[in-house]
Amino acid sequence: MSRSLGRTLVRDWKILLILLGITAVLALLRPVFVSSENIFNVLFQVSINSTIAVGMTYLMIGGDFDLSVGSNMVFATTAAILLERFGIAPGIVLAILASTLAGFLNGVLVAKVKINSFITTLSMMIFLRGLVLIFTDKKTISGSTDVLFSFGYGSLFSLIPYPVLVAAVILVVFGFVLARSAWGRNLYAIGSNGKAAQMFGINIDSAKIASFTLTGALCGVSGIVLLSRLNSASGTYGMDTGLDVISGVLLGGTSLAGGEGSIFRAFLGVLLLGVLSNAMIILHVTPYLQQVVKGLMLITVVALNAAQAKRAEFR
Amino acid sequence: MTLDRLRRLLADQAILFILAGLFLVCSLFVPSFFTARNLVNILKQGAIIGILAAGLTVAVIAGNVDLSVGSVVAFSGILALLFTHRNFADAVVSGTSTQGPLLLAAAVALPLVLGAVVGLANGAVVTLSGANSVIITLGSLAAVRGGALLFSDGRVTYGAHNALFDAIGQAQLATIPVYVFFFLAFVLVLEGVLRFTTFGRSVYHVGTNLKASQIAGIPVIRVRVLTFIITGFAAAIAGVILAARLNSASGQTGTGWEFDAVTAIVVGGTSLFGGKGSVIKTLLGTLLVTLIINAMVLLNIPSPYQYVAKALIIVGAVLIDISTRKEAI
Repeated sequence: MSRSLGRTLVRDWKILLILLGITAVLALLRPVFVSSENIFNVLFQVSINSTIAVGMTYLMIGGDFDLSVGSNMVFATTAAILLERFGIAPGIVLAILASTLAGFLNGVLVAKVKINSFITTLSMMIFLRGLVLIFTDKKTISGSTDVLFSFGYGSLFSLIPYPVLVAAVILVVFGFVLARSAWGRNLYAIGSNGKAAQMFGINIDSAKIASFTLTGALCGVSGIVLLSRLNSASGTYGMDTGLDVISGVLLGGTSLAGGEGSIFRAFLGVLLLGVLSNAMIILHVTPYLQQVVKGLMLITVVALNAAQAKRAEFR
Repeated sequence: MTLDRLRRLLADQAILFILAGLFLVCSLFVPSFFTARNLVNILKQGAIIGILAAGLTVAVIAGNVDLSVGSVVAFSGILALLFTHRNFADAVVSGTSTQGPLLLAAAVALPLVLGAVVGLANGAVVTLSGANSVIITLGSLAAVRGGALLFSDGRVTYGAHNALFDAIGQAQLATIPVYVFFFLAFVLVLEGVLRFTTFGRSVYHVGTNLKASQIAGIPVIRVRVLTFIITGFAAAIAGVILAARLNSASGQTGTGWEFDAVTAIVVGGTSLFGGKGSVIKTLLGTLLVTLIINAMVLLNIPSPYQYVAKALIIVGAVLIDISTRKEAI
């Protein structure tokens, strides 16, 4: 009994165990790793990626993915700066709406027009990156006021940073929606067997469009959080976001083939990736080598998961 | 009857008609477009990425995508230039080393081996794990580019103007660079392999129906891995030619080329679902995309708009593909 419990623990919570192991080793090697300043740094980075990872998880459970998230995030940042002249708040709202619209468009192209998510979101990625480069004139543009700093660098009861708080609320709310709503249930059904889901009368198109729209909206929110920390935008921001988010979600055990995954596990995956990136920085690993490690890790995780799924299929 | 045949011809050869129409429009309305110099320019700009796209087409017909090609261009270029480096070149010129020609051979051969190895790795992982090639090669895109940056220490690598090596990218035949002819030959060879060899037919079968091919006894794994090797190899050729032409390469070289190549392939009419397409169509697709970008440059449209245009071109091409497919059904 206790042995099978142990095995379940290892299988389902291996990420948490790895996370704890890495933290313990690093805390011993480099005490600065567990300094409050560094922990906040990691949490901030993770808060942006995990917000987007929420949308990506919805997509992947339904059997899709979105390569345009990094561009879409910077698109919101850029739009918010450009729209500042209409006031900070309206600018932010419009910027998030613009990102949401881009996500919605992805969804319509995938679900209604039937262009696969690879081509759709790759095109959207280039398109939005182009718009950002046009709007910024290939330079780094800055916001005129830094009132948003009080959000980006502030914290609730001087304990929980606001960006982390926002990410936590989004994780909890949409984790709950995915687990309990008809939308969430439908996505699991679509991802595991699209044809069966259709025969059961599930509206596949609207579930997919909703997931893409959610992803767009969350990119918008992340773009604003980014703005609240940097107060600037440039065509070079967010280049690695897509890679990091997809890697994190897959690392958490969400299957690329669809039908499997959870928000909490996606969060653990993104957190593990964030901790690893931070650890590499603290251990003075060059950025180039970090990129190599990240790329190889994505390949390993996806290959292992796919091989596992293949073996399960044969059984 | 004849109308029906005409319509089918239009659908099958859509890319040819669009290319011809656009060429005519640009010749008439874009200043200094229809000049010998500019037409050679279009060929020059299209040829190198065209070689890469031609190789990638084979993998796409087999039902996969390889996003690491742009990174292979960077790494192979750096590797090639390193072996034409000043110290090596000095040794050749002063004649103190007999290894001169050997090093030059290495400058060409090693990058090609690198490309083939990256392709082999991509192919092995994708076929053995059965994972989505988009995500696997997204990983190798990052890994190989990181490797290129690491290898060049993040700096630009310059060649040493080794006359023989430079010729790869700069020699001309009737004012047209030699590599343009190589591009055309490469396309024809690949097209021939796809059409007239057992391997070629297997590529189409595997792309159309993987399970059926397996049951029919086609060595599925070998065929799929080979398509990735061809892709990596072609990307490395493009990297070497580009390095020889510019006499420089860096970790940033070839950024986004995977997208340009996929655009050319899709615009040409090769299906991303596999089983359908041809290398010659990719050549036409490459020329179309190059022509549009060239016209935009001549019309003084700022470069960021090219991104937007490319995105619209690829979506437009897929839309045309989908609408013709519906008509066919």
